Amino acid sequence: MTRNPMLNDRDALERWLTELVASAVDLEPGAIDVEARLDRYGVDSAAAIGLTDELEQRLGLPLDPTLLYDYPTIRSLSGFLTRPR
Amino acid sequence: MTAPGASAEAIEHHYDVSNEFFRLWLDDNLVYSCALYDREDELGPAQLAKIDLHVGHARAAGAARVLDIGCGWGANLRRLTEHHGVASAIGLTLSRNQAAWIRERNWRGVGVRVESWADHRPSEPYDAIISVGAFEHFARHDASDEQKIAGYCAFFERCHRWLRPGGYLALQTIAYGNARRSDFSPFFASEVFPESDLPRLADIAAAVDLRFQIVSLRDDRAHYVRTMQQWRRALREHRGQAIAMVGERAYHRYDRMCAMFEIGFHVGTMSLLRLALRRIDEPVDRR
Repeated sequence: MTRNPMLNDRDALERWLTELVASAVDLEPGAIDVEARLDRYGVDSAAAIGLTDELEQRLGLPLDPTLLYDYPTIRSLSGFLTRPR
Repeated sequence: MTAPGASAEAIEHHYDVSNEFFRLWLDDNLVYSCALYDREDELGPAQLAKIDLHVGHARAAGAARVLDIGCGWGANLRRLTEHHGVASAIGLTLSRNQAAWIRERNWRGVGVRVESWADHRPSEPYDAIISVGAFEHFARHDASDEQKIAGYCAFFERCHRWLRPGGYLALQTIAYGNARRSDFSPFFASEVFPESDLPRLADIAAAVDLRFQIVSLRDDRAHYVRTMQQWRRALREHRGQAIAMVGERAYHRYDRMCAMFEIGFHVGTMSLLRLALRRIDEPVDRR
């Protein structure tokens, strides 16, 4: 897997995560608050697994399906993903 | 008696995909239940450590006759006879594939029957009983709470009858944790636990009352998170072979199952209970 350059740009990553989540739950990106818990938008375990799989492929990082439970907002998730590794 | 839990057809739906498929992602002994990582990191040794824990809980080492209810591919039976000096280990399974697999191995002292616990009629008592990863299937998903507990009572009553005085039963099962039945995804009911409903710890406590003393109880849900991670990693590493064997749909079903279980055990909606139960030899009257 190739590491995605977005992992060095937290703002760009948050914009992309917002679009990804919005598309998964069929909402407009403008309706998603990066500080709100994702389960508020209907992200359940099945959706969390799909999103994590997509993040894994697109970002080139091995990720656990529990990721969105440990980092349940886009803000906390972007913070985790952009941490130096 | 009709078994109160899942039917043989439902069990075969889950467990009879193909033995070769499970060999791709389980450990070498094909143990399909939560491992024990108290001192181990790798899946294979952690599965053996789990078996040894239950052998200890059941006080089965050196016994003449041990029963394993829901014996899978026979790892407990083999370990009991080869490593713990048990003369005769008898396994019950509802899966014909698993029974055929065990018979082909010709392990000395090991016997297997394609039979529900509800139909088992042993000719002699057992010194110890082990049941790992079968209790999950002992109640039907459409049963009322009273029917569920009545089914569990029937199971413990049988175990009580079959054990010699002072004998122990080692039990491992997934249970509901911080969740209700209605919180679970339909995926679990239809694809993972066909026809089955999980117990709650309180159901087990109610059903063992005046039959068994609970000597020890552990909730090792974190151990199941690790087991699921290791299974899923291995399954994904063998993706091509797995799909060639069972098809894309079944591959994704198992991959998704591991991920959903990992989440459930991680957040605590599910528990992994391990109990050591001592037979109460002279229980007082229930009324």
